[in-house]
Amino acid sequence: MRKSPLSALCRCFVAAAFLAGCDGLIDSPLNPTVDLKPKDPTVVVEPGAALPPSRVRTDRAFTPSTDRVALLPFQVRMNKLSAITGLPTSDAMFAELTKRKLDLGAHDFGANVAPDLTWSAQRMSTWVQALFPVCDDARLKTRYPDWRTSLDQFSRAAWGRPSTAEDLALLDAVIAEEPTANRWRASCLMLLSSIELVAQ
Amino acid sequence: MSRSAAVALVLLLSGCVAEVVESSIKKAEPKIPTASPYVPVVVELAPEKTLEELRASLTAAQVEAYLRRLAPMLAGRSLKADEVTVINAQKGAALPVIIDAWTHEDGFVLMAREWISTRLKASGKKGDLNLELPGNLAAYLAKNRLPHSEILTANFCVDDSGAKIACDSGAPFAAGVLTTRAFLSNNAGRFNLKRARTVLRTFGCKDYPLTAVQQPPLAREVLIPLFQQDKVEGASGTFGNGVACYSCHSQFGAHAQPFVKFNSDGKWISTATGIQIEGGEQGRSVDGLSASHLSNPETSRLEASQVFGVQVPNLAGMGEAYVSSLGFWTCSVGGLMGYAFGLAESTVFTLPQDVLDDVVAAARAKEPRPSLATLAIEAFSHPAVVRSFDPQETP
Repeated sequence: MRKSPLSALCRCFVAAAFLAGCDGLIDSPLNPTVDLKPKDPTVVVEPGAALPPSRVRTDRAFTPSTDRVALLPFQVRMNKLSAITGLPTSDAMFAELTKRKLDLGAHDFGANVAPDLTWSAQRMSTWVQALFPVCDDARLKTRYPDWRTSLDQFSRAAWGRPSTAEDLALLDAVIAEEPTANRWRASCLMLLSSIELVAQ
Repeated sequence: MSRSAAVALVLLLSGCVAEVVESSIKKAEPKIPTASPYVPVVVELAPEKTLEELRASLTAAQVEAYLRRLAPMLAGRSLKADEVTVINAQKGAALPVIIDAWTHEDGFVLMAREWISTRLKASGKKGDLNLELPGNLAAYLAKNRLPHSEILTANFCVDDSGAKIACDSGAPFAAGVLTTRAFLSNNAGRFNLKRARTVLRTFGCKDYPLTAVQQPPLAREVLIPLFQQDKVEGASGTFGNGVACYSCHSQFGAHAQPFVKFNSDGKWISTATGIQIEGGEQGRSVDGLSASHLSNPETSRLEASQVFGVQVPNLAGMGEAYVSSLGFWTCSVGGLMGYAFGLAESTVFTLPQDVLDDVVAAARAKEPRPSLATLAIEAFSHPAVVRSFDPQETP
């Protein structure tokens, strides 16, 4: 009687396991040795059984979570602002952000404040308020006199990529809704609060 | 083991010694001989693809999207245009090149600090306690590309200016972050259980009970009566609550003992006895110290113990026992990935072992005790890690 494919598979598995067991490691990841020898490349198969092409490697190490937006650590967000403005994070322009860093997700375990990287409505509001001194600073306006024409420069510094037509369309939508006097500042706040800038 | 010996072993185990000879070892072919349908044959598998070959199969778009996501967490900044140029030219081969460059930047040092600080819940100040010491040490090790294992074995601490100092516990030895008051006071508790468990979870990615191979249990008779109890036959559940103490505490006790002379403020008290305070809460000793699991006063006051089957003289020996285990290295890799990609601890604890082993083997082939930089280069260049961000087909 011919043995079933399942039986053949089991035999392959058992044989492979025995062969793999020759590497000197017990199942424990806490085992105090690591063996770098290559694995024995042979395996027993039954006639007619499918031939395994090679050891099956894990294709994906994990599945990333996509159910929430997680902010970048506070200091990383500050580094990005520094790259955009060309000024160090110690500049007075960032004083309000630094002052409110614990409200913005930074941690100080000594003060019983753990990191909180959720992008909540409260945190968005705090972030935008703390950006006012940045967007009101003349040095930033000198660097980006017109957001439409400066968008690519901004995009490369903030997002690490050239700007796209979609970026421009979003910017135009904001500009269209604001009175002329507010346009530059509103655009600044919107760009410096973009998810691509602040989130992981 | 030689190939012929392995073949013989397999065939012996398969019960098919008779007609098989060495010549039955064949290179993989599309068809398997069918002349003797019941005689297994030993075939050589197609050579496993190397990590380099797998990396080479990645597209420039895959690599760019992945590095764009990784850059802020690992380098503390966005991907740069010149890096995109390298990616377009080299595709997957660009991964180790670019990540290596990142590990020389300040952002990488910041990442090391943040990772350890948040993992150990230690930052800022509390009274006279400087909770920055663990993060300072992590940053120092990363910046100077020292072995990452020194996080548990360094014989020094690092102050806020980046200078080497003695650790603040006052112990006559040092064991990296383990001998900072930040760690010790944060994790103080009865029987020193929290300290032992935090070390195991943070640096071993495991929890109690371990297998008896991983951590040989202490003999029942050396423990205080409370922990000698075992699960009552027929009782449900596995947690103790008075009926299953021995299974966990025979291992807990071994890992808690090196902490016996550190009080709840993290200060080393030479006169500590490990003896339960009379009439006090279980697990407490005098002067803010915790009680030992050991019943004999001659041994309960000693810091010597056995960790992963290795006799250690004190906490410094325990740190060394940890970093001598493969589990420390794979856990470090997993923890690093967990931090960079915001993975839950449960995900970190169950990352595929073959991926972690690949990373550690590649890193240890470069450095016997790899730096965080080397671990990061190998971890974040692994094709299975990159492919984790590929769009998934929905069922």
